[in-house]
Amino acid sequence: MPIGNIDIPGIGKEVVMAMIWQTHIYHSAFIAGILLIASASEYMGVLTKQPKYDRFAKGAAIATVLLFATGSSIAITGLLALITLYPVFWSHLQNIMFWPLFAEAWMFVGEIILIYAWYVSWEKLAYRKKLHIVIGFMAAMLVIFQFTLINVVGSYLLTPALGAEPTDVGAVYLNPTFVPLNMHRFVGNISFAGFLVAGYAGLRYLRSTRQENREYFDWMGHWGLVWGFGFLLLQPLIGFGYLKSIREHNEAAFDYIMLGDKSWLFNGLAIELAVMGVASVTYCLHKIKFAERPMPTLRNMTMGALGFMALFSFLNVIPADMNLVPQIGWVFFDGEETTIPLGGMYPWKYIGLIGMMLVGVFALGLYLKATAGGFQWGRASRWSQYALVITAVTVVVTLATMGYTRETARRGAEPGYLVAGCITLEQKIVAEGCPEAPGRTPERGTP
Amino acid sequence: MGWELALLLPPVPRFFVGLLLVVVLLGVETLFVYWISTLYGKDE
Repeated sequence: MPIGNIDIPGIGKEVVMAMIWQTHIYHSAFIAGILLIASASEYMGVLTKQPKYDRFAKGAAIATVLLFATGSSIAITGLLALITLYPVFWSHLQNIMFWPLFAEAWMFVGEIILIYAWYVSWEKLAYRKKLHIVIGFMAAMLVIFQFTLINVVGSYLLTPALGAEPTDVGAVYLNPTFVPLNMHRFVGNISFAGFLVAGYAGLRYLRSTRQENREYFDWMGHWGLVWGFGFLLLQPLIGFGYLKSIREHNEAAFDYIMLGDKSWLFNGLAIELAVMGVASVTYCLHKIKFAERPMPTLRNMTMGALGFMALFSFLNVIPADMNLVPQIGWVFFDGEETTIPLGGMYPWKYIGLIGMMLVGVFALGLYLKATAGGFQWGRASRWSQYALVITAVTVVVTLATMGYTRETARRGAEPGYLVAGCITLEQKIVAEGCPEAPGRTPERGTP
Repeated sequence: MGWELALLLPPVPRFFVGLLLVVVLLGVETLFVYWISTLYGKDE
Protein backbone atom coordinates (compact mmCIF):
# COMPACT_ATOMS: atom_id res chain seq x y z
CA MET A 1 0.00 0.00 0.00
CA PRO A 2 1.48 3.40 -0.91
CA ILE A 3 2.31 5.41 2.19
CA GLY A 4 0.25 8.32 0.90
CA ASN A 5 -2.92 6.28 1.08
CA ILE A 6 -2.75 5.45 4.75
CA ASP A 7 -5.41 6.83 6.98
CA ILE A 8 -5.40 7.17 10.73
CA PRO A 9 -7.95 4.92 12.44
CA GLY A 10 -10.54 6.63 14.59
CA ILE A 11 -9.93 10.28 13.87
CA GLY A 12 -8.70 10.24 10.26
CA LYS A 13 -5.82 12.20 8.82
CA GLU A 14 -7.66 15.51 8.69
CA VAL A 15 -8.01 15.62 12.47
CA VAL A 16 -4.35 14.66 12.83
CA MET A 17 -3.37 17.67 10.73
CA ALA A 18 -5.78 19.93 12.59
CA MET A 19 -4.47 18.79 15.94
CA ILE A 20 -0.80 19.25 15.06
CA TRP A 21 -1.14 22.62 13.37
CA GLN A 22 -3.56 24.00 15.91
CA THR A 23 -1.08 23.14 18.64
CA HIS A 24 1.72 24.68 16.59
CA ILE A 25 -0.15 27.91 15.92
CA TYR A 26 -0.78 28.43 19.63
CA HIS A 27 2.97 28.50 20.14
CA SER A 28 3.81 30.56 17.08
CA ALA A 29 1.06 33.15 17.53
CA PHE A 30 2.08 33.65 21.15
CA ILE A 31 5.76 33.96 20.29
CA ALA A 32 5.07 36.38 17.43
CA GLY A 33 3.01 38.58 19.74
CA ILE A 34 5.10 38.34 22.89
CA LEU A 35 8.39 39.13 21.15
CA LEU A 36 7.01 42.46 20.03
CA ILE A 37 5.39 43.21 23.40
CA ALA A 38 8.52 42.17 25.31
CA SER A 39 10.90 44.18 23.12
CA ALA A 40 8.65 47.21 23.44
CA SER A 41 8.56 46.67 27.23
CA GLU A 42 12.31 46.46 27.43
CA TYR A 43 12.53 49.74 25.57
CA MET A 44 9.89 51.23 27.87
CA GLY A 45 12.12 50.17 30.76
CA VAL A 46 14.95 52.26 29.32
CA LEU A 47 12.69 55.23 28.67
CA THR A 48 10.89 55.24 32.03
CA LYS A 49 13.67 53.72 34.17
CA GLN A 50 11.07 51.56 35.92
CA PRO A 51 12.47 48.08 36.62
CA LYS A 52 9.12 46.30 36.20
CA TYR A 53 9.31 46.67 32.42
CA ASP A 54 12.65 44.92 32.32
CA ARG A 55 11.49 42.21 34.72
CA PHE A 56 8.51 41.61 32.47
CA ALA A 57 10.62 41.54 29.29
CA LYS A 58 13.03 39.05 30.81
CA GLY A 59 10.22 36.82 32.04
CA ALA A 60 8.73 36.96 28.54
CA ALA A 61 12.12 35.99 27.10
CA ILE A 62 12.23 32.94 29.36
CA ALA A 63 8.73 31.95 28.29
CA THR A 64 9.71 32.44 24.65
CA VAL A 65 12.79 30.26 24.99
CA LEU A 66 10.72 27.55 26.70
CA LEU A 67 8.01 27.64 24.04
CA PHE A 68 10.06 28.26 20.92
CA ALA A 69 11.74 24.85 20.78
CA THR A 70 8.47 23.03 21.45
CA GLY A 71 6.58 25.08 18.86
CA SER A 72 9.25 24.54 16.22
CA SER A 73 9.47 20.81 16.80
CA ILE A 74 5.69 20.54 16.41
CA ALA A 75 6.07 22.25 13.02
CA ILE A 76 8.64 19.64 11.97
CA THR A 77 6.29 16.85 13.09
CA GLY A 78 3.53 18.57 11.17
CA LEU A 79 5.58 18.73 7.99
CA LEU A 80 6.44 15.05 8.35
CA ALA A 81 2.75 14.25 8.76
CA LEU A 82 1.87 16.45 5.79
CA ILE A 83 4.39 14.75 3.52
CA THR A 84 3.28 11.31 4.71
CA LEU A 85 -0.46 11.79 4.65
CA TYR A 86 -0.85 14.24 1.74
CA PRO A 87 2.08 13.47 -0.59
CA VAL A 88 0.39 14.50 -3.85
CA PHE A 89 -0.85 17.75 -2.42
CA TRP A 90 2.46 18.47 -0.77
CA SER A 91 4.54 17.84 -3.90
CA HIS A 92 2.47 20.40 -5.79
CA LEU A 93 2.41 22.87 -2.95
CA GLN A 94 6.15 22.61 -2.52
CA ASN A 95 6.51 23.33 -6.23
CA ILE A 96 4.32 26.43 -6.05
CA MET A 97 5.57 27.65 -2.69
CA PHE A 98 9.26 26.92 -3.03
CA TRP A 99 10.51 30.48 -2.51
CA PRO A 100 8.26 31.41 0.41
CA LEU A 101 9.09 28.12 2.15
CA PHE A 102 12.78 28.51 1.38
CA ALA A 103 12.79 31.97 2.95
CA GLU A 104 10.74 30.58 5.85
CA ALA A 105 13.45 28.03 6.61
CA TRP A 106 16.05 30.79 6.84
CA MET A 107 13.86 32.78 9.16
CA PHE A 108 14.07 29.84 11.56
CA VAL A 109 17.84 29.98 11.47
CA GLY A 110 17.82 33.69 12.23
CA GLU A 111 15.29 33.30 15.03
CA ILE A 112 17.20 30.52 16.73
CA ILE A 113 20.31 32.68 16.73
CA LEU A 114 18.59 35.88 17.85
CA ILE A 115 16.03 34.63 20.38
CA TYR A 116 18.57 32.64 22.34
CA ALA A 117 21.18 35.38 22.00
CA TRP A 118 18.63 37.89 23.26
CA TYR A 119 17.90 35.76 26.30
CA VAL A 120 21.45 34.82 27.29
CA SER A 121 22.91 38.29 26.77
CA TRP A 122 20.47 39.94 29.17
CA GLU A 123 23.04 40.58 31.90
CA LYS A 124 26.08 40.79 29.65
CA LEU A 125 24.59 43.58 27.59
CA ALA A 126 23.10 45.39 30.60
CA TYR A 127 25.31 48.37 29.87
CA ARG A 128 24.61 48.24 26.14
CA LYS A 129 20.87 48.11 26.63
CA LYS A 130 19.96 49.63 23.29
CA LEU A 131 21.92 47.02 21.40
CA HIS A 132 20.13 44.38 23.44
CA ILE A 133 16.74 45.89 22.62
CA VAL A 134 17.64 45.89 18.94
CA ILE A 135 18.36 42.15 19.14
CA GLY A 136 14.88 41.60 20.61
CA PHE A 137 13.21 43.71 17.94
CA MET A 138 15.19 41.94 15.21
CA ALA A 139 13.97 38.57 16.52
CA ALA A 140 10.43 39.97 16.49
CA MET A 141 10.86 41.19 12.91
CA LEU A 142 12.05 37.76 11.80
CA VAL A 143 9.01 36.07 13.35
CA ILE A 144 6.75 38.64 11.73
CA PHE A 145 8.32 37.96 8.36
CA GLN A 146 8.05 34.25 9.01
CA PHE A 147 4.33 34.30 9.66
CA THR A 148 3.98 36.60 6.66
CA LEU A 149 5.52 33.86 4.54
CA ILE A 150 3.28 31.16 5.97
CA ASN A 151 0.31 33.45 5.38
CA VAL A 152 1.24 33.35 1.69
CA VAL A 153 0.70 29.60 1.84
CA GLY A 154 -2.45 29.84 3.97
CA SER A 155 -4.11 32.50 1.84
CA TYR A 156 -3.12 30.81 -1.42
CA LEU A 157 -4.98 27.64 -0.41
CA LEU A 158 -8.21 29.62 -0.10
CA THR A 159 -7.71 32.02 -3.00
CA PRO A 160 -5.07 30.80 -5.45
CA ALA A 161 -3.48 33.31 -7.80
CA LEU A 162 -5.22 32.95 -11.13
CA GLY A 163 -3.30 31.96 -14.21
CA ALA A 164 0.02 32.36 -12.46
CA GLU A 165 2.84 29.94 -13.17
CA PRO A 166 4.51 28.55 -10.06
CA THR A 167 7.59 30.52 -11.02
CA ASP A 168 5.59 33.74 -10.86
CA VAL A 169 6.55 34.42 -7.27
CA GLY A 170 4.93 37.85 -7.21
CA ALA A 171 1.49 36.60 -8.23
CA VAL A 172 1.65 33.67 -5.82
CA TYR A 173 2.90 35.85 -2.99
CA LEU A 174 0.35 38.60 -3.51
CA ASN A 175 -2.62 36.31 -3.99
CA PRO A 176 -6.01 37.97 -3.40
CA THR A 177 -6.43 37.43 0.34
CA PHE A 178 -2.79 37.58 1.40
CA VAL A 179 -2.65 41.21 2.50
CA PRO A 180 -5.83 41.24 4.63
CA LEU A 181 -4.95 37.86 6.17
CA ASN A 182 -1.53 39.13 7.08
CA MET A 183 -2.93 42.25 8.73
CA HIS A 184 -5.45 40.12 10.59
CA ARG A 185 -2.78 37.77 11.86
CA PHE A 186 -0.35 40.54 12.79
CA VAL A 187 -2.92 42.24 14.98
CA GLY A 188 -4.36 38.96 16.24
CA ASN A 189 -1.01 37.63 17.40
CA ILE A 190 -0.36 40.69 19.54
CA SER A 191 -3.86 40.61 20.97
CA PHE A 192 -3.54 36.87 21.69
CA ALA A 193 -0.22 37.26 23.48
CA GLY A 194 -1.49 40.30 25.39
CA PHE A 195 -4.54 38.50 26.77
CA LEU A 196 -2.48 35.44 27.67
CA VAL A 197 -0.05 37.65 29.58
CA ALA A 198 -3.02 39.24 31.35
CA GLY A 199 -4.50 35.86 32.28
CA TYR A 200 -1.17 34.53 33.49
CA ALA A 201 -0.61 37.64 35.58
CA GLY A 202 -4.09 37.23 37.02
CA LEU A 203 -3.30 33.70 38.17
CA ARG A 204 0.06 34.67 39.58
CA TYR A 205 -1.47 37.69 41.36
CA LEU A 206 -4.06 35.50 43.01
CA ARG A 207 -1.37 33.17 44.31
CA SER A 208 1.16 35.83 45.32
CA THR A 209 1.66 36.54 49.01
CA ARG A 210 4.54 39.01 48.95
CA GLN A 211 3.52 42.62 48.46
CA GLU A 212 6.27 43.17 45.90
CA ASN A 213 4.93 40.34 43.73
CA ARG A 214 1.34 41.47 44.15
CA GLU A 215 2.26 44.90 42.86
CA TYR A 216 4.20 43.46 39.96
CA PHE A 217 1.57 40.96 38.82
CA ASP A 218 -1.21 43.49 39.25
CA TRP A 219 0.69 45.79 36.90
CA MET A 220 1.47 42.91 34.53
CA GLY A 221 -2.23 42.07 34.20
CA HIS A 222 -2.90 45.69 33.29
CA TRP A 223 -0.02 45.71 30.81
CA GLY A 224 -1.18 42.53 29.08
CA LEU A 225 -4.75 43.73 28.91
CA VAL A 226 -3.80 47.05 27.32
CA TRP A 227 -2.04 45.19 24.51
CA GLY A 228 -4.66 42.47 24.19
CA PHE A 229 -7.73 44.68 24.31
CA GLY A 230 -6.11 47.50 22.34
CA PHE A 231 -5.28 45.28 19.40
CA LEU A 232 -8.52 43.34 19.68
CA LEU A 233 -10.38 46.56 18.91
CA LEU A 234 -8.78 46.70 15.47
CA GLN A 235 -9.90 43.19 14.61
CA PRO A 236 -13.54 43.71 13.59
CA LEU A 237 -12.46 46.26 10.95
CA ILE A 238 -9.58 44.18 9.60
CA GLY A 239 -11.65 40.99 9.80
CA PHE A 240 -14.36 42.72 7.80
CA GLY A 241 -11.78 43.59 5.13
CA TYR A 242 -10.57 40.00 5.10
CA LEU A 243 -14.06 38.58 4.72
CA LYS A 244 -14.78 41.09 1.98
CA SER A 245 -11.79 39.87 0.01
CA ILE A 246 -12.85 36.24 0.56
CA ARG A 247 -16.30 37.13 -0.76
CA GLU A 248 -14.78 38.70 -3.85
CA HIS A 249 -12.44 35.85 -4.64
CA ASN A 250 -14.01 32.68 -3.26
CA GLU A 251 -17.72 33.13 -2.98
CA ALA A 252 -18.43 29.49 -2.18
CA ALA A 253 -16.17 29.67 0.87
CA PHE A 254 -17.73 32.94 1.99
CA ASP A 255 -21.26 31.55 1.71
CA TYR A 256 -20.29 28.43 3.60
CA ILE A 257 -18.85 30.25 6.61
CA MET A 258 -21.10 33.30 6.67
CA LEU A 259 -24.49 32.05 5.49
CA GLY A 260 -24.30 28.27 5.18
CA ASP A 261 -23.75 25.24 7.38
CA LYS A 262 -20.77 26.71 9.22
CA SER A 263 -22.17 30.16 9.91
CA TRP A 264 -22.52 29.15 13.58
CA LEU A 265 -18.79 29.71 13.83
CA PHE A 266 -19.46 33.42 13.62
CA ASN A 267 -22.15 33.18 16.27
CA GLY A 268 -19.44 31.59 18.38
CA LEU A 269 -17.08 34.42 17.52
CA ALA A 270 -19.70 37.01 18.50
CA ILE A 271 -20.03 35.33 21.90
CA GLU A 272 -16.25 35.26 22.32
CA LEU A 273 -15.91 38.91 21.34
CA ALA A 274 -18.68 39.79 23.76
CA VAL A 275 -16.95 37.98 26.62
CA MET A 276 -13.57 39.60 25.88
CA GLY A 277 -15.06 43.06 25.37
CA VAL A 278 -17.22 43.05 28.50
CA ALA A 279 -14.53 41.44 30.67
CA SER A 280 -11.92 43.95 29.50
CA VAL A 281 -14.10 47.01 30.14
CA THR A 282 -15.14 45.57 33.51
CA TYR A 283 -11.49 45.24 34.42
CA CYS A 284 -10.81 48.85 33.37
CA LEU A 285 -13.79 50.03 35.41
CA HIS A 286 -12.54 48.21 38.48
CA LYS A 287 -8.98 49.46 38.06
CA ILE A 288 -10.01 53.12 37.83
CA LYS A 289 -11.20 52.81 41.42
CA PHE A 290 -7.55 52.52 42.41
CA ALA A 291 -6.27 55.51 40.48
CA GLU A 292 -3.83 57.64 42.46
CA ARG A 293 -6.14 60.63 42.14
CA PRO A 294 -9.88 59.86 42.48
CA MET A 295 -11.58 60.12 39.08
CA PRO A 296 -15.34 59.92 39.62
CA THR A 297 -16.33 61.44 36.25
CA LEU A 298 -14.02 59.15 34.35
CA ARG A 299 -15.35 56.20 36.30
CA ASN A 300 -18.94 57.09 35.53
CA MET A 301 -18.14 57.42 31.84
CA THR A 302 -16.47 54.00 31.88
CA MET A 303 -19.57 52.64 33.59
CA GLY A 304 -21.63 53.99 30.70
CA ALA A 305 -19.17 52.49 28.22
CA LEU A 306 -19.60 49.12 29.91
CA GLY A 307 -23.37 49.36 29.43
CA PHE A 308 -23.01 50.18 25.76
CA MET A 309 -20.39 47.47 25.30
CA ALA A 310 -22.82 44.92 26.75
CA LEU A 311 -25.62 46.25 24.53
CA PHE A 312 -23.64 46.13 21.29
CA SER A 313 -22.17 42.73 22.20
CA PHE A 314 -25.66 41.39 22.76
CA LEU A 315 -26.72 42.71 19.37
CA ASN A 316 -23.84 40.81 17.76
CA VAL A 317 -24.74 37.57 19.51
CA ILE A 318 -28.30 37.34 18.15
CA PRO A 319 -28.31 34.61 15.44
CA ALA A 320 -29.90 35.32 12.05
CA ASP A 321 -32.23 32.32 12.07
CA MET A 322 -33.09 29.16 14.00
CA ASN A 323 -30.78 26.97 11.88
CA LEU A 324 -28.20 27.19 14.65
CA VAL A 325 -25.78 24.26 14.42
CA PRO A 326 -27.15 21.78 11.87
CA GLN A 327 -24.22 19.37 12.39
CA ILE A 328 -25.40 18.47 15.88
CA GLY A 329 -29.10 18.90 15.21
CA TRP A 330 -29.59 22.37 16.66
CA VAL A 331 -32.28 23.32 14.18
CA PHE A 332 -35.42 24.69 15.81
CA PHE A 333 -38.84 25.56 14.43
CA ASP A 334 -38.50 25.92 10.65
CA GLY A 335 -34.74 26.31 10.68
CA GLU A 336 -33.60 28.85 8.12
CA GLU A 337 -37.19 29.93 7.49
CA THR A 338 -37.57 31.17 11.06
CA THR A 339 -35.66 34.44 11.13
CA ILE A 340 -34.93 36.16 14.41
CA PRO A 341 -35.56 39.91 14.80
CA LEU A 342 -32.35 42.00 14.99
CA GLY A 343 -30.40 38.95 13.79
CA GLY A 344 -29.65 40.08 10.23
CA MET A 345 -26.19 41.17 9.14
CA TYR A 346 -27.42 44.44 7.68
CA PRO A 347 -27.80 46.76 9.49
CA TRP A 348 -27.74 45.13 12.93
CA LYS A 349 -24.38 43.37 12.96
CA TYR A 350 -22.71 46.39 11.39
CA ILE A 351 -24.18 48.58 14.12
CA GLY A 352 -23.08 46.04 16.73
CA LEU A 353 -19.52 45.68 15.46
CA ILE A 354 -18.89 49.36 14.79
CA GLY A 355 -20.49 50.28 18.11
CA MET A 356 -18.36 47.73 19.92
CA MET A 357 -15.18 49.13 18.39
CA LEU A 358 -16.05 52.75 19.13
CA VAL A 359 -17.12 52.03 22.70
CA GLY A 360 -14.00 49.91 23.19
CA VAL A 361 -11.71 52.69 21.93
CA PHE A 362 -13.57 55.16 24.17
CA ALA A 363 -13.24 52.94 27.25
CA LEU A 364 -9.60 52.18 26.56
CA GLY A 365 -8.91 55.88 26.01
CA LEU A 366 -10.42 56.70 29.40
CA TYR A 367 -8.46 53.91 30.98
CA LEU A 368 -5.18 55.09 29.49
CA LYS A 369 -5.96 58.58 30.73
CA ALA A 370 -6.34 57.14 34.23
CA THR A 371 -3.14 55.12 33.73
CA ALA A 372 -1.18 58.27 33.01
CA GLY A 373 -1.92 59.45 36.58
CA GLY A 374 -0.82 56.11 38.04
CA PHE A 375 -2.58 53.34 39.95
CA GLN A 376 -2.16 51.93 43.43
CA TRP A 377 -0.76 48.56 42.40
CA GLY A 378 -1.34 45.43 44.41
CA ARG A 379 -4.84 46.29 45.58
CA ALA A 380 -6.91 44.73 42.80
CA SER A 381 -9.81 42.50 43.83
CA ARG A 382 -10.02 38.80 43.05
CA TRP A 383 -12.84 39.40 40.58
CA SER A 384 -10.82 41.76 38.43
CA GLN A 385 -8.20 39.02 38.13
CA TYR A 386 -10.87 36.48 37.23
CA ALA A 387 -11.87 38.87 34.42
CA LEU A 388 -8.30 38.70 33.10
CA VAL A 389 -8.26 34.91 33.28
CA ILE A 390 -11.59 34.83 31.42
CA THR A 391 -10.18 36.97 28.60
CA ALA A 392 -7.18 34.63 28.32
CA VAL A 393 -9.33 31.50 28.14
CA THR A 394 -11.65 33.14 25.63
CA VAL A 395 -8.86 34.31 23.36
CA VAL A 396 -7.54 30.74 23.22
CA VAL A 397 -10.97 29.53 22.10
CA THR A 398 -11.24 32.43 19.65
CA LEU A 399 -7.97 31.56 17.94
CA ALA A 400 -9.21 28.00 17.43
CA THR A 401 -12.58 29.20 16.16
CA MET A 402 -11.06 31.53 13.60
CA GLY A 403 -8.41 29.06 12.46
CA TYR A 404 -11.02 26.35 12.02
CA THR A 405 -13.20 28.78 10.11
CA ARG A 406 -10.58 29.60 7.53
CA GLU A 407 -9.57 25.99 7.01
CA THR A 408 -13.09 24.63 6.85
CA ALA A 409 -14.05 27.36 4.35
CA ARG A 410 -12.43 25.26 1.63
CA ARG A 411 -15.18 22.67 2.15
CA GLY A 412 -17.64 25.30 0.97
CA ALA A 413 -17.58 24.11 -2.62
CA GLU A 414 -18.25 20.43 -3.37
CA PRO A 415 -16.34 18.15 -2.90
CA GLY A 416 -14.07 20.17 -0.59
CA TYR A 417 -10.64 21.40 -1.55
CA LEU A 418 -7.09 21.50 -0.33
CA VAL A 419 -6.31 24.23 -2.86
CA ALA A 420 -9.59 25.97 -3.66
CA GLY A 421 -10.95 24.92 -7.03
CA CYS A 422 -7.81 22.90 -7.83
CA ILE A 423 -6.93 19.97 -5.54
CA THR A 424 -9.72 18.17 -3.73
CA LEU A 425 -9.55 16.77 -0.22
CA GLU A 426 -8.92 13.38 -1.83
CA GLN A 427 -5.85 14.92 -3.52
CA LYS A 428 -7.45 14.72 -6.97
CA ILE A 429 -6.37 17.45 -9.33
CA VAL A 430 -9.35 19.01 -11.05
CA ALA A 431 -9.82 21.99 -13.39
CA GLU A 432 -7.65 23.01 -16.26
CA GLY A 433 -4.16 24.22 -15.53
CA CYS A 434 -4.36 23.15 -11.91
CA PRO A 435 -2.79 23.21 -9.53
CA GLU A 436 0.21 25.22 -10.67
CA ALA A 437 -1.62 27.63 -12.91
CA PRO A 438 -5.36 27.54 -12.39
CA GLY A 439 -6.93 28.97 -15.51
CA ARG A 440 -10.41 29.40 -14.08
CA THR A 441 -11.78 31.58 -11.41
CA PRO A 442 -12.34 29.65 -8.21
CA GLU A 443 -15.25 31.91 -7.31
CA ARG A 444 -17.80 29.31 -8.22
CA GLY A 445 -15.76 26.73 -6.41
CA THR A 446 -16.61 23.93 -8.80
CA PRO A 447 -14.32 22.90 -11.66
CA MET B 1 -8.23 4.15 0.93
CA GLY B 2 -7.49 1.27 3.24
CA TRP B 3 -9.48 -0.71 5.72
CA GLU B 4 -8.75 1.94 8.37
CA LEU B 5 -11.56 4.05 6.99
CA ALA B 6 -14.00 1.51 8.39
CA LEU B 7 -12.86 2.52 11.88
CA LEU B 8 -13.41 6.25 11.33
CA LEU B 9 -15.65 8.01 13.79
CA PRO B 10 -18.42 10.24 12.45
CA PRO B 11 -17.39 13.88 11.78
CA VAL B 12 -18.75 15.44 14.98
CA PRO B 13 -17.09 12.98 17.42
CA ARG B 14 -13.92 13.26 15.31
CA PHE B 15 -13.99 17.01 15.79
CA PHE B 16 -14.33 16.68 19.54
CA VAL B 17 -11.62 14.03 19.81
CA GLY B 18 -9.28 16.38 17.93
CA LEU B 19 -10.22 19.26 20.18
CA LEU B 20 -9.69 17.12 23.26
CA LEU B 21 -6.23 16.11 22.04
CA VAL B 22 -5.24 19.75 21.50
CA VAL B 23 -6.53 20.68 24.95
CA VAL B 24 -4.69 17.80 26.62
CA LEU B 25 -1.41 18.56 24.81
CA LEU B 26 -1.50 22.26 25.50
CA GLY B 27 -2.90 21.81 28.99
CA VAL B 28 -0.02 19.60 30.05
CA GLU B 29 2.47 22.01 28.51
CA THR B 30 0.84 25.04 30.11
CA LEU B 31 0.90 23.42 33.56
CA PHE B 32 4.54 22.53 33.04
CA VAL B 33 5.54 26.05 31.99
CA TYR B 34 3.51 27.52 34.84
CA TRP B 35 5.28 25.26 37.31
CA ILE B 36 8.69 26.24 35.91
CA SER B 37 7.78 29.90 36.13
CA THR B 38 6.79 29.67 39.80
CA LEU B 39 10.23 28.19 40.55
CA TYR B 40 11.81 31.04 38.64
CA GLY B 41 9.83 33.58 40.67
CA LYS B 42 11.22 32.26 43.97
CA ASP B 43 14.81 32.73 42.88
CA GLU B 44 14.36 36.38 42.06
